[in-house]
Amino acid sequence: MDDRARIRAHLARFSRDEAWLGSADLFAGGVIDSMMAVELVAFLEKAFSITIDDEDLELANFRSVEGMLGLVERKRTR
Amino acid sequence: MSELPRIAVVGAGVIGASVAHALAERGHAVVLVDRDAAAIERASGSIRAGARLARLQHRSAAAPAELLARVRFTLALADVAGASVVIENVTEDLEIKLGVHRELDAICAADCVFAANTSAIPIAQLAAATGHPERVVGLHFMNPVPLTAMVEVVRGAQTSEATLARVAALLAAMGKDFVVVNDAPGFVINRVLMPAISEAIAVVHEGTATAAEVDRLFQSCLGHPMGPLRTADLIGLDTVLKTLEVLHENLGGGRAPCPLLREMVAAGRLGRKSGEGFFLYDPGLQHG
Repeated sequence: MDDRARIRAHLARFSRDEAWLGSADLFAGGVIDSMMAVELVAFLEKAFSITIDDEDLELANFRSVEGMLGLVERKRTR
Repeated sequence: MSELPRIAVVGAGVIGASVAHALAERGHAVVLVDRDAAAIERASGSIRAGARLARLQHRSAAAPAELLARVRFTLALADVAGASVVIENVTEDLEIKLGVHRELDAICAADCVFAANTSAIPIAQLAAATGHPERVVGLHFMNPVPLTAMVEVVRGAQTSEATLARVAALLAAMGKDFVVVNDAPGFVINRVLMPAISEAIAVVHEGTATAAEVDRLFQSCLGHPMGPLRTADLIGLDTVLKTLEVLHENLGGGRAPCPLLREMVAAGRLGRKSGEGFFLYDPGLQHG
C-alpha cells in the first residue's frame, strides 16, 4: 500500500465518502474534529516511523490527505 | 487574593488527567496520584496528546514537554500531604470514594480543602465520612477540562464559606467560570443530562433512529455543539452507566439504564477512550 492509500485507509474508519476523503478541509464537515487531529498525529508517527515536532503542530499539516503526505515527506527527508 | 493553592489531583483516569492538564496549561505545578501504574502511564500519554491539541488549536504556546514537566506523577497517596486543595477524581463508586476520603483525612493538613469531582454522588455522603464536612465541596469538571469554560460547584449542607472562597480562587487561577448549586443526586447537569442520554440510547436500541441521526437532530434542531451520544462517548459509557445507577438509587422512580448501554460496557465499547462507542475513534488514545 502506498502512503496515500495508507492515510486514506485510516481516514475511511470515520467516513468512506469519496468527496470527504479528497476534500481540502477534512475538519469542515464535522466528520472529524480537531481532537481527532491529535489522533492523526499519533497515527502518522506510528505508521510512517516519523517524529512530528511541536512546530509541525499546525492544522494545515493535517487538514487534507495532501497536507499529511507533504508532512510525511518532509519528515522523512530530514 | 491569598497565595495560590497548592494542588493535588487524586485519581488519574480520564477526568483526573484532564484536570491536571488544565492546571499545567495555566502554568500551575500539580501532583497527580493514582495507585495504578498503568493509569499513570495513560495519563501521561493523554496529557501529552492534550498539550499537542492545545498547540494545534493555538490555545497554548507551551511546549508539550514543558507542560508535562509541571505535573508530578506519583503512585503514593502520601505525596499529597502538602496540598491546600485536593481534587479527588477516583472512580464513581461510593465505597471507593469514601475510603479515599478517609485516607486523605489522615494525610492532609488541618486546613486542606477536599474537592470531590463526582458525577452524581451527593457531597453530603462523602463529607459525612470525614471529620471535616465543612472543608468538603463538589467540583464537577467537564471533559475535556482545558476546553470547557464552566465548572459546576456543589455546596454541601455543611460546606463553609472559606472552602467556597478557596475553590473560587482555584478556579479563577484556572481561568474557569463557575456556578454554585446546592447538593442533590446528580446536581444539575447530570440529573438532567444522563436521563436524556439514556433515552437517546433507548431510541437507538429500539431502532427508532441511528446514533448519527439522533445526534444530528440535537445539533441542527437545538444548536447543541455535540449530540447526546457523542457526548456519552466522550464522557465514557462506563461512567454514564455508573452515574445512571447512582441517580436511580438516589432518586428512585425513573427508568433503569437501557440494556444496550449495559451490553456495550460489558463488551468494552466504552466510547472515545476505548476507540469505539456509538461512533468510531482511534483506539488507545485519550485526550486531556
